[in-house]
Amino acid sequence: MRLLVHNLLMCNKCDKNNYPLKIEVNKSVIMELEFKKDAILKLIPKLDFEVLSNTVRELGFKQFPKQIPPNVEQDLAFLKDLHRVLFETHIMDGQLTCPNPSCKRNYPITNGIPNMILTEDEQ
Amino acid sequence: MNLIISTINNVDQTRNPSSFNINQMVMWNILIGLTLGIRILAYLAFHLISSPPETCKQITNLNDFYDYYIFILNMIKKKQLESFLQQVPDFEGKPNWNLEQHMTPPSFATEIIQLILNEESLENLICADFGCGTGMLTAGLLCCNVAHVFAYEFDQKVAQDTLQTLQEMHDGAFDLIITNIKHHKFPSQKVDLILMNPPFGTKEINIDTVFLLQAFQHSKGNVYSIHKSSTRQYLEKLALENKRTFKVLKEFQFPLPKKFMKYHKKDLAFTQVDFIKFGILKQKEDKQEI
Repeated sequence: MRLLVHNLLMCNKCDKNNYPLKIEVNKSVIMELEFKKDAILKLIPKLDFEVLSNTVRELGFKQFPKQIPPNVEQDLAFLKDLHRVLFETHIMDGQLTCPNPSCKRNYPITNGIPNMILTEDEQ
Repeated sequence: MNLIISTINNVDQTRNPSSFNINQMVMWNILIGLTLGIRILAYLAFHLISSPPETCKQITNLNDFYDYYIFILNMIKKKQLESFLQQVPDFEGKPNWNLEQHMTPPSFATEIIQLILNEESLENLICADFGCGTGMLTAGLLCCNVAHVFAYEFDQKVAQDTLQTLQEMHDGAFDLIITNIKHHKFPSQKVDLILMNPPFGTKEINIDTVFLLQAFQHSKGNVYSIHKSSTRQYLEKLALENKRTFKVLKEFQFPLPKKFMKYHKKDLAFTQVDFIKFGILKQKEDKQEI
């Protein structure tokens, strides 16, 4: 699972305060991928950048900027960082937790795939 | 070409004479060359005559040659795509017929991708595939330079297999998510395009409607989907209610394998299926603003 997916996932059980999910990583892998500047520039406006940068800094990449830098198109260093974070980092093993204190449902990530299925009584 | 090969053979013969019969060699070269040539010519001629009559009846000026060139290129691309999609394996073991697991045949997937490319460019779009199954449609999308594909699947084992095969086939940008579309909560309008082959709703009634409604909510662009032709009128109504346009792009005879014998008593049953585009109803508002 990439962090891009985390940007889209919500807790399926509750209706409020269910985004973003807290993330816990046991094992992660970096798989190299070709850097495409145009693609990543078009992707930036579609991201929830605040959520992304919070999670990235929580996971240990402290230098990652809190906001999108003003001159994104020229800022190649930032774009490469973003590429690494979004496309090359795979979370293979871990756990997602609902941020709602009354819920705290866990969703496991096994072999790189998050499992968001609820049991029958939870639906 | 044949001449060149035969002269080379001649030279070899003079340098180190062997017991090999040179006449035979030349004969074989000419024979193979001729058959290949005839085949290629016949293939081209067949497609020239059969497929797009407007561009190929009279090639009189340069533009026509250009059209023809593009046509040949497209044909080659289509073949490449199809042979790429043929690498996707079918469901391992016994498919779960409660989930209506059936693979989209590679030839259909190719045609579907071509139809979408006729409608719009897929470059740098974020796409989603609901109920991806073997990942056939996901693989098709990956060939079109999309930014990312999110593939949602309910069956955990199938999801693992699909992730593995797709990773072997393509280095690219896709992610699998195990979920139940029925109660999955999507942040609204995060995805540009959805292409899916949902269950037809023969086992679980209305499941196709649930998939569609979720897709409408999740996508801010077009939704492409495959449905039974018998539900066409109902779907048209549903599309209107959700402010979507409705357009049948193509009708297919979808083969359902023998595994679904419980429903179909013939050896290989075909179902009449529509490939539908649910566009966005936006133009009227835009015109008023202008």
